Amino acid sequence: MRAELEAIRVAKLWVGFRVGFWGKRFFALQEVNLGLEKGKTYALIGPNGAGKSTLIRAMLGFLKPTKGTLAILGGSPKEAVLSGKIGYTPENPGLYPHLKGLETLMLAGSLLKLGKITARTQAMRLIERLGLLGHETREVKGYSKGMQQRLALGFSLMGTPELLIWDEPMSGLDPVGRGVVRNLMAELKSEGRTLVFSTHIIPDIEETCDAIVLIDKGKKISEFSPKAFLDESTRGYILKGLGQLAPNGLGADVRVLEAQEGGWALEVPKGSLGETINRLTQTGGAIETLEPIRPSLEELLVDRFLNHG
Amino acid sequence: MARLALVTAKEITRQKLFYAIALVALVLIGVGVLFGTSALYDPKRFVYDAGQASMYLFGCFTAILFGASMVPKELERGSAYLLLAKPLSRSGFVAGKFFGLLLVGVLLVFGLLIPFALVYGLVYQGTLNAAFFLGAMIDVGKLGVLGSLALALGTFSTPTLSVMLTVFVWLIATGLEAAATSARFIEIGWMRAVVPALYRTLPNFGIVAADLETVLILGVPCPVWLLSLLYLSLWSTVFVLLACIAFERRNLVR
Repeated sequence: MRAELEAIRVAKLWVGFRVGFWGKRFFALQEVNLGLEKGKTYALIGPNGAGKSTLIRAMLGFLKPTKGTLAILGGSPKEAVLSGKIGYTPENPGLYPHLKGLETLMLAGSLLKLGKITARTQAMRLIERLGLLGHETREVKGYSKGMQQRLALGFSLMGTPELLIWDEPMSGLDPVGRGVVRNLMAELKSEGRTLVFSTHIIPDIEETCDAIVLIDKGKKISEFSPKAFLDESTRGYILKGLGQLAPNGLGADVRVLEAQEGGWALEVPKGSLGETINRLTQTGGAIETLEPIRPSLEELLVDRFLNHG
Repeated sequence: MARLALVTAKEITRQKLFYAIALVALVLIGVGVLFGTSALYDPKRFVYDAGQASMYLFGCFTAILFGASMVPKELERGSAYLLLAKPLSRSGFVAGKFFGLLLVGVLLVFGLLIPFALVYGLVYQGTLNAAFFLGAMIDVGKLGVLGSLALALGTFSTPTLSVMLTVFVWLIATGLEAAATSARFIEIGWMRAVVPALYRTLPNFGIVAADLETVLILGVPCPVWLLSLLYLSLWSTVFVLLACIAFERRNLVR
């Protein structure tokens, strides 16, 4: 990948701490290599204690690498952070409880040295975007956990950063809140911003992510596109349609699940889909739905974690 | 940094502990008045002893208690990460916290100075002049030294340990002048050597001869007052710099 297209480059990264009374060295990350492209959305997936948050903190310069290198937007993590090009939301929002919603975002604006009017305009726009309109003059301590989480995401978005790093952005959110964040992710993606986030909520990443990075026991297991991963795991399809079905015209490997007057359902193996659709179209069948037969992304990921050793 | 200082000051002043400290300090001034009314001679003495003690002691308590827990609390809550992911250096973060703490110290000391001065001047017909202000500034300087030390220790240790160590240094700083003066009378050889060494290396509140009492009673000349304030400011700067270095170097792990 060309350097100017890279948002994050991690090479042979080791991050270790001293733990316990005797200060035994523990490596939370071991020889991690990663190249994340600009303008794409990446999910870091792994069990608790896998090293996701450690990796995120190293990317922000909060943790110093024991070995290896880390380049963020072409420079060191410290340079990237001080340039204001990064937006970060920690796992626990960590907002000041006595500040009002608007004041919280204005604090981010003042750290970014935005003018007062610009900061206010941006803050109000974000408050609206995050579904917090009407709560901006309330103190944060009166916010629900989900609202605090959304406000923290707003804090990270102040100053229009080009790289967003979110640690568990969906934790504590109700379905409505998750919907707001999912839409926000889609908007950020369409704006061409790079988003890296860790999560345990797998269904949410299926639609939003360009790539998934699997981490376990401080090591990167694999990196892949969820779409390609799911396509690979698809065994076949369930086709449902309207009209008269002519079973003789179908391939031998196609199974008729249901054939009533006016409606039918077929199980089609992956390799026969194109041919089956052609035949159905020729015999006047109208396809209504097409559902892949495959395990869910969550099941596939669990399987991959269990099988990597 | 100024914004962070204001947020810090607001955060401290929204805590019940701060008001508990302020209330006890006010009660101490009230006790001084109470004893003053029943004193056989020099009732003013009770009032300004109590007033000075409440400003100095509770100002220092505030600085130590809040200074020691400031950084660990921010790391625990996660707000430090939120702020440090914005264009704010770690040193800027520490400095912002210190100035917020100092602002609270100014608020507390001058907040207590008002009732103290009112009682002293109006009820006991004491002289109200600029000396009140100058003496209070020295108290702020002292709490600045202790607050910055607690803050510095809090950047790499626990709040409890920071409080204990800062109180220890406070006691030494208060008694150092007297100990150094009488060092030659100390019988144990190594202690005779340690006391002058401490005298030269630790902050010494004894040589700051411009606290409220001496300013009020003796009318300490302006250069002495200025030098005292400069001395305290230098120590605060040293501790804030140490805090910045310690915080810049450490890994930020919750």
